[in-house]
Amino acid sequence: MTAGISGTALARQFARAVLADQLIADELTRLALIELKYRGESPVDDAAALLGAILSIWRGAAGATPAPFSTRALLASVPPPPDTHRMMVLLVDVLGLSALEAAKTLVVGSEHAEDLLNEGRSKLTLARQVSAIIVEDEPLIAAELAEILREMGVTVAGSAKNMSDAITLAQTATPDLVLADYNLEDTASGGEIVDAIRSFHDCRVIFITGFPEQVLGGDIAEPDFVIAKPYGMNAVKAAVAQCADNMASAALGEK
Amino acid sequence: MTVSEKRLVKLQVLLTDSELAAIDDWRFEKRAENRSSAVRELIWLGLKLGEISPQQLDDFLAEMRKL
Repeated sequence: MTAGISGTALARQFARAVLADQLIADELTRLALIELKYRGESPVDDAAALLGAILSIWRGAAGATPAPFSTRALLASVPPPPDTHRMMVLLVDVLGLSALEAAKTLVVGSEHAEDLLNEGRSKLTLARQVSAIIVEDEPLIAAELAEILREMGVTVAGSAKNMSDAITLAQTATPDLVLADYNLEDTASGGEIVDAIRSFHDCRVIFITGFPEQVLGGDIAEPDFVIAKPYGMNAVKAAVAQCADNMASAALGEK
Repeated sequence: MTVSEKRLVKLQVLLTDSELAAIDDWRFEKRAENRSSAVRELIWLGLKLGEISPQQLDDFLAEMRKL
């Protein structure tokens, strides 16, 4: 688990990333907090418990035909959560829960935890074509990230080491996704660079950082996913696959 | 004359498409000035109903909140 961030903040950010919708994710988080408080469960500031409550509310909303203007009507219009395999991978590889903690959060038997995780990892495919750029000042890490992305089928348009290179690259490549290191040698942080890119081009963002609390507590626009350093290949893959899913369902919603 | 309140609060509300359509229908039927005033009038009407017919309001609420 990432140190230094409150469990509530962590769970809320995770819900935002999975739902790809800040407003609805925050509403779900509020409802889950009330639910936990109502049940008298403490400590409330436990990311796994809070995510479990968020998921149970989210799952419970599906298929209902509730009264207009009720909270359930609102929840019924939220797209269903990712399947259990995918959630398992996101909870373990991106959020850093153990397989057992994740199984508990998802309310599945602990004996299935490893199988679900492995199956989820093997099923990580892109729901649509994705192009990406990398913002990273360590050439070796940039090359390694590019390799992971290409292996998944992502088109890597290039990598940049600083603000001006990144802007130029984003302008020419108009990527779907920016994978950025947060702390760069450059005077501008990865956050500032991403903010600058987002001011002219709408894209998904994954931050890779040794200090996740810096990203989640900062003033910059919120990323889709935050991956803690030292990162694992599985974390990058899971976050990218979920971004692709969210892009695909956003495109469906616009039709 | 009452002194006007200093602070205005922006309230963000999530609605489904059909709920928004219902508000807009009401707005046109009742000739409300705009969507925001329609929402404010509906809120006021809800509060008013609670004053003049608290039992009926509770019945409506229970129906709305039931699973």
